Amino acid sequence: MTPKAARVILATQPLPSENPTPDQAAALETIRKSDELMADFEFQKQADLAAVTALGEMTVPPAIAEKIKELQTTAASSRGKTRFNPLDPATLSVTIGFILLVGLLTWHFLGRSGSFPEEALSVAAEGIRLQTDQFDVVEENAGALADWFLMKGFDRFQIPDEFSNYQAAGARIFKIENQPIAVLAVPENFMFFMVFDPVPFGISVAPEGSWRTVALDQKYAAAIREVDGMCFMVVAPGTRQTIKDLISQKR
Amino acid sequence: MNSATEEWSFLDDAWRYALVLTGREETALELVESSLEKLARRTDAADPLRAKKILFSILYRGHRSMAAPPAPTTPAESAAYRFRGLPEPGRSAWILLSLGLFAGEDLAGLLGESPSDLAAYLSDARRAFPREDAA
Repeated sequence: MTPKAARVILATQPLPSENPTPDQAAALETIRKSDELMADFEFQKQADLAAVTALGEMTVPPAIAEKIKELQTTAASSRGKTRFNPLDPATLSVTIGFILLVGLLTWHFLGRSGSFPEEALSVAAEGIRLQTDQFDVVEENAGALADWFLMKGFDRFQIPDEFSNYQAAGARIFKIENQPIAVLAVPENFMFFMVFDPVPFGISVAPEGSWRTVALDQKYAAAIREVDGMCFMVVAPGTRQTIKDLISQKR
Repeated sequence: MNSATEEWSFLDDAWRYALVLTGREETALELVESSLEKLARRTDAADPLRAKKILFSILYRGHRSMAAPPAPTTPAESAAYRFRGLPEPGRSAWILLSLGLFAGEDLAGLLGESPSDLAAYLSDARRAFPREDAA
């Protein structure tokens, strides 16, 4: 140990005790080799003793001791009582984290609500696979086929007004997971109209009456909306833009 | 005194240190009280050991440059008076060290000094302290 290091160690310790720490012992060993350093250390011990004595003479007067006791009690009782401080770094971090989480969830669910329901994709895919000869021949406008479906046991067939004037060429009911789907084959644009109860499929298109569109594959696109608890889906050849143009038409 | 209160027993020494800074018993008590109020406004001082560091840091940084204390009127003030005129930060370091409140390395951190500078400041304070036999 260098003399400088020894002086730093001994100078920054209160009166070295009779049982010095290893560092203090090494420092003492070092300064013993120098009369000057030893003299400094002896002076330090005398000064420290004088300081401790002076501080010991600063006895706390009874009246002040009583007040300090009250302060101790107050400080001890308030210990652990964390007061809410919005600017506290920990509180800020939690708040920002919470806001981010809420934002993320909102973004996720708003995005989900704005997208085509995944569960309806399988319904659309099944509808496309139907062959012409699997349909019963009808020669009515789509909007006039509610009675036809009622006779077949499907009592909630309803078509949006803007699609009710399309001429249907075929109609049938098929089932997915034992749930009935009413399908119309419409020659114009080679479209299929499908009507079904969304609840058994876990489908929800909110808000009511709003459209969701999707491109099914390279050839077909679909649009779906929910009104009065029933889903209406139109599937037609083309792109997503084609189907958007179709649902925005007024007939 | 229960254990929770005992953890705050360093307030006696806070008063002694404040007495050196102010020179008056009552003023020292007021200084400790006002420093505790500042401490209570902090949210990072629930732990008594941390609270001790912060409290003495408040006392040191806010009041080390106080005007020279008035002439003493009580035995405690007379004892504190002996530390008047000692150079800072050596005086504060030496008092806190002699009261056994902080180890050397903690003291260096509290005062914002390096250990070697702290050693030098302590040496200056020790040499400036009026010896009884020289009085």
